[in-house]
Amino acid sequence: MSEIAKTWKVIVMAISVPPLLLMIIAALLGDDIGSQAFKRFGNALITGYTFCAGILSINMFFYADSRKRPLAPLFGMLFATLFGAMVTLWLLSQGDLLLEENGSAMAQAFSNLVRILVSTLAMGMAVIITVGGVFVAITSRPKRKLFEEE
Amino acid sequence: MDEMVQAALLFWIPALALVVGTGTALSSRSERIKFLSKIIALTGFVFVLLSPMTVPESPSSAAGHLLGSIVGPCALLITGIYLLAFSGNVEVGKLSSTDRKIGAACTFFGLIWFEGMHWWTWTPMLNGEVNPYWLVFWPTFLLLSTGLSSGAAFSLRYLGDSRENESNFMLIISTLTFSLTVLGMMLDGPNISSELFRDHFWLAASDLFGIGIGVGLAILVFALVIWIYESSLPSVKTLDVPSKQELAEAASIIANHIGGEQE
Repeated sequence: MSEIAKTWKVIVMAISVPPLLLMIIAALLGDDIGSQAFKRFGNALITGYTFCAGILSINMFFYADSRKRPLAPLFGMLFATLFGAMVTLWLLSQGDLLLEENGSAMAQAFSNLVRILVSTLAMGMAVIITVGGVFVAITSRPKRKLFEEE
Repeated sequence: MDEMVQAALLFWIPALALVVGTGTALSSRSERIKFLSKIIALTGFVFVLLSPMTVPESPSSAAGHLLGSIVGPCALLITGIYLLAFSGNVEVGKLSSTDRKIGAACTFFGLIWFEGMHWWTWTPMLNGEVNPYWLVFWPTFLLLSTGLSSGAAFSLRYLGDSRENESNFMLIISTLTFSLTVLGMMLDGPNISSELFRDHFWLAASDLFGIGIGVGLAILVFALVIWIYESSLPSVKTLDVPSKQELAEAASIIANHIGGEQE
C-alpha cells in the first residue's frame, strides 16, 4: 500500500474512531432505543436524500447555463427529487414504520424537514469550530524561517 | 386565519426564504442579486426568530426558539475564532493584539454559554420543557466536532510539515468535546438527565448516518443524471485533415505575418 493511501486510512480512522468510541460507551451504559434509532435513521435518510436532491435540482440550472440550457437533465433531477418526496410520504404513511411522536405523515415530514435544518446548523457549527481551530492554531505559531539566509 | 396557513406564512415561507436567500447570496455573481438575497435571508431570519410569538401553536416554531437561543453563543464563537485567526501571523489584514484579547474572550464566553445550556439553567426551555431541537443540535454538534477535530489533528500531523503543535491543539479540542459528551452521558444536568442525553445521542448518531447516506445517494443520482445526458449527446464532428492546397494557403498567410519588417 502506498504512503498516501496509508495516510488517508489513518485520517478516516481518526475521524470515525472517536464517534465509534462514544457509541460503545453509550451502549455500555445500557439503553434500548433500537427501534427509535432505526426510525430516526430512516427518516434522516429519506429526508436527507430529498432535501439534497432538491438543492442539486436548483444547482442543475447553473449546469444548464453552461450547456445551452438543456431540459433533459433538469427534468431528470426534478423527477429524482419528486420521486424522493413521494417515497418519503409513502413510507411515512405506512403506520408505525417511520412515524415518531407525530400524529400524521405530513406532521412527521415537516418535523423531519425542521430537524434536518437544525442538524445542518449543528454540522455547520462543528465545521466552523474545526476549520477555525486549525486556522487559529496555524496563525498563532511564530513565523517559520523557510531558509537560513532569511 | 387557519393554523396551517398561519404556519406557512409566518414560519415555512420565511424559513424557505432564509435557506434560498443564503444560498443565492453565497453563489450569485451579480452584486445586485447578492444584495437582494441578503435582504431576503435577513427578513426570513427575523420572521423565523419571531415564530414562537407569531405562531406559538405550530410545533415547528420550536426551531425558531432554538435559533433565537443559540444565535448569541454561535455569534460569539464565530467572532472569537475570526478575531483569533486574523490577529495571528497573517500576511495581509492583520488585526491588533486588542482584537486578539477580545477574540479570546468571545470564544471563552461563547463556550461557557453553550456549556451553561447543558450544565446550568440556561437550557432553551419552551412551555416548561426542554426545546426538542436543542436535544438535536447539541449531541449532533458534539459528536461531529469530536470526529472532525480528531481528523484535523491527524491530517495536520501526517499531511503537514512540522505541525505537531497545531495537531496537539486540535487533539485538545477533540478530547474536550469527547469528554463533554461522556460527561453528559454519565451525569445529570439541571434540565437534561444523563439518560435523556444518551437517548438523544443515539438519535443524533442515527441522524448523522442517515443524512450522510441520503446526501451521498442524492449526489450519486445527480452524477448519474449528468452522465446519462452527456453520454446521449452526439459525438463532436471532427474536421477533415487539411488538404495540401489549404496547408499552402495557411503557410503563405503565416509567412505574411511574421518577420516584422513592415512594422
